This record gives sequence, structure tokens and C-alpha cells, in this order.
Amino acid sequence: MSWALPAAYGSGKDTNERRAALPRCAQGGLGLITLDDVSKRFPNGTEALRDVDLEIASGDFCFLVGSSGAGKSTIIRLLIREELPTTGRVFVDGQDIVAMRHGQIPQLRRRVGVVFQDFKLLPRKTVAENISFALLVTGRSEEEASEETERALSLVGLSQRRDHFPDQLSGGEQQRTAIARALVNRPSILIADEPTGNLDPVTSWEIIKLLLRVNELGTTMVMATHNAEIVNALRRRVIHLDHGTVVRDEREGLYAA
Amino acid sequence: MRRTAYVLNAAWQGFWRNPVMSLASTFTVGLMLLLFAFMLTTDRGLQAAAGILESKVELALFLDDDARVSDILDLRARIEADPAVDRVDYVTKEQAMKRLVDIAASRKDIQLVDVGTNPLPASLEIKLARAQDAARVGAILRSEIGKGVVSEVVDNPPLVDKLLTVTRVLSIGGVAVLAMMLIVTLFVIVNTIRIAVHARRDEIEIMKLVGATDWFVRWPFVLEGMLVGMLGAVAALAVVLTAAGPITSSLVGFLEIVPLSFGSAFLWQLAASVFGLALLVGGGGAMLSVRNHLAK
Repeated sequence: MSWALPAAYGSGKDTNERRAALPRCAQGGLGLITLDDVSKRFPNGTEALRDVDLEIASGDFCFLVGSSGAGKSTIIRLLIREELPTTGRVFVDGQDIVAMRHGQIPQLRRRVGVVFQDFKLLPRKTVAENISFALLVTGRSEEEASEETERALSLVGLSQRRDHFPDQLSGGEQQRTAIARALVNRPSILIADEPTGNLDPVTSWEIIKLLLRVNELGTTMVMATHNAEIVNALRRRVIHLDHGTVVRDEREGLYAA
Repeated sequence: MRRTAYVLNAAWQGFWRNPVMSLASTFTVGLMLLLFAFMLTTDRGLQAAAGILESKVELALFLDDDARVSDILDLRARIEADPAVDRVDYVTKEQAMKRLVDIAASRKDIQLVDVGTNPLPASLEIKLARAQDAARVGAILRSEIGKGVVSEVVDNPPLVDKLLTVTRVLSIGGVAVLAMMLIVTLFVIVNTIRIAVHARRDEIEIMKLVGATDWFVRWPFVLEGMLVGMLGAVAALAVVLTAAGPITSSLVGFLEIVPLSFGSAFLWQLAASVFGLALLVGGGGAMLSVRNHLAK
């Protein structure tokens, strides 16, 4: 498999425009994530997060580990502002996204790409259409969308599959389509919520290699996972959550302490 | 450009994805708008008719032949002081006779026999500012009978009463029925669009995930709702334009009033009101349906 990339990927005109569009104070903080004393209590009384302080540097690659219900998904949903913390502040790209107005949420989500365990592809659109959809619904022109889509397709190695429908693809190809869709708006952060949860070990490794490549291109990676083998092999930063608190945060960590 | 094309296309597809439901809600909107147009038209017609009649409403006081002029003028001043009264005219016996002669001269079916003396009483003719006050003012004046000035009070033109009652019943009843129809229509539209929203819920989820604005998500549905409303409006106006003639003439016959025809200005007003309400109900209903999906 080839990982040849168009030279312009990740450093194109749009990225500079996007930087210019950010508040001045945030320009140094692209890709930076900060959780400041964050707690999240749901109306039913469940305490999903308790006093979480976290800083993920720009360009970092980190794993969120912990058993189901430990708070991994809550952190992810806070980062794309699907949830608001009960107390505390959350900064993405140097911007306080808790204080942010509702109308600014779309801008945030264009800067934070997300991929899921179940891919969330539209079954009646082709691979290329699934990817360009993310551009068209954010108001980009057709020409721009098809250009960017081609770039994303070659980044994830799916150019040959561009006109296939999701049900004609393997799980790995579907996840690569989802990753291309998440990257096509050139986000500064890519969040992956158990991206290998539905994939066999070999395919999982292909996806991880792709995510590492994306990270090398400058995108901050946050990946929630239960895959101990991958975490242990990569020796990247590991943030271990348990019952809503960070119990371990190591620079070159392992899946279990 | 592409954005507009996308939104229009999505709205059109949404409409035809479930044609039975879409046409059912178009029909409901059409019915509601038809009622609305009918109400506007009759209300306007009756108002105009009532206005014409109201300007003619008069109470007449027949005066005793031997009433003193100073008493008559005094009474006239008191009547004029009532805010419901527009004008009071004093008609002498001679003026009354002359009027009768004039009327007789213009009509072939009446012949005047010269009786030598003048049997007609002098009168005060009272023009009211508002027809609704006729009964009250009439009652006050009737209490003057037998005090040496007033011999008889003629009031209460029955047609005006009838017309005012019809107008009142129609506007109260019409508003009530219209309100119910409006709720039913809104309910049907909300459900139609909800089905469209449900059919595209995965698409909406992804749109929000990749950073589409709320309006981008909302527009196709709002337009679909407006399309339903517009089609209903066209149907309703077609019915109104076809049926307006016969209905007006039967209404005129029933109320025994002068036929009134509506100018083109009113027709434009009617069309604008019907389309306005259609867009409001269609678009508004759609907004309600999408609201839940945009909460986050």
C-alpha cells in the first residue's frame, strides 16, 4: 500500500486562510486541547467526569483508555460540543468552546474531525460522494469539493474505489472513507472513537498506520481505544480514565499500568 | 449557487419521497386556506355593505304640530351632544311635503292627491356615527314621547341589524373555525416534514458532525414545507376565483343588499394574504419538525 501524498496536503491555501480567520490569541494554539477542571454530571445523576485537567499539545498523538463508561466518550463529545461540562472550561485551538455561541459550533466542528467505530457513512452515496458531502454542506463550491475529495482519496489510498458504495467495501475501506471525510475540511484535530473496534487485527494496523501518517502531517490525534496491542506497540501518550477521573497520564505509556 | 441547488433539490426530493403524505398535507393546507380566503372575502364584502348602510342609518323623530320651536331647538341641541350622533337635521312640515311631492313625481306607481292641508309632521332626522348605537339612542329618544315635543320615534332599520349580526357571527365563528383549521394544518405539516426529517436523519447527523450550519440543515425542510403551503395556496385561490362569482350573487340575494364587486386591488390583497399564510404555516411547521434535530 502506498502512502504517497500530494505535496500540498495539510499546508494549502485554505489552512492559511483558516489560521487567519481565527482570533489572534488562538493562532498559536491550533490543535491544542485544554480541559480545565472539567466535571460532567448527567441529569440522571451519573457522574461521567470529575475534576479532569488535561492538556494535549498541538501535533500530539494520544490514546484515551479505560473501561466502558470511564468517560472517554464524554470527553470526545465535549470536544465537539455535543455536550457541555457541568463545571470547568474546555479549550480547542485556544478557543473557549464552553462560552462559545451556538452559532459558532459549525466552525468548531470543521476544525475537529471525528471518526467512529461504526463509520457512519451514507449508504446511498459513493465513497467520493460521502467525502465531498462534508465540503458541500459546509458551503464549498463543487470544483473545490471535487479537488479536495481527490486529495483525501489518495491520502487514504481509495482512489480506485471512489465510485463504490459503502456496502461494496471492506470494513477497513469503510473506515478509511470515514477518515477521508473527517480530514477533508483540514481539521487541526482528529478524534477517533474506537476506530478499530469493528476491524480485524490486520486491517486495524492499516488504519493505525494511516492515523499515524495524518498525525505526522501535523494533525493532533486523540484516539479512544480498547486495543491493548496497538497502544503497547506504539508507546505514545496514554491517558487512562477510570470512573470519570484521570488515573494515569504517561508520555510513552502502555495500555495497562 | 451549488448550495442553492443542493437545498432546492433536497426539498423537491423530500416532497416526492412520500407523495401520499405530501399531497394529503397539501390538501389540508388548501382547505384551510380556502376557508381563510372565504372569510376574508365575505368579511370584506359585509363590511363594505354594512358601511354603505351605516352611512344611511337614521333615526327620525316626528314632532308634535304644536310643539314650540324653542323646545325643538333645545331637544336638537341635547341630541347633538351625544357622541354617537353624527348630525341632526330639522325638517319642517313644508320640507317634508316637498320631499313627498318630489318622490311622487319620480315614480309612476304613486299619485299624490291634493288634500289641501299638510298632514305630514315636522321631524328631526338623526344620522348616527355608528350603526350599533341605534338601539340605545332610540330608547333615549322614545322616553321623550308625550312631553309635548316628540310624537313618534322611527328607528331600528331591521336590515342593518341583520347585517351586523351576520357580520359578527361570521367573524367570531370564522376566526374560531380558522384557528382550529390552523392547528390541524400545522399538525399535518409538522408530521409530514417529520417523516422527511426521519428519512434523512443519518444525513442530518453527519451534516452536523462535519460542521454544516443549522440553516443549511433546516433549509431543505423549510422549503419543502413552503412548497406544500404554496401548492395549497394555488389550489385554494383557483377555487376562490372560480366560485367567487356564484357565491357573491347568492350571498347578495340572501342578504338583500346591493351587489358589491371587488376591485383588483382586493384580489391582489387576497392572493398576498393567502400566500403569506401558506408560507408561514408551511415554513413554520417545518421549523418545528426540525427543531429537535438541531438541539445539539
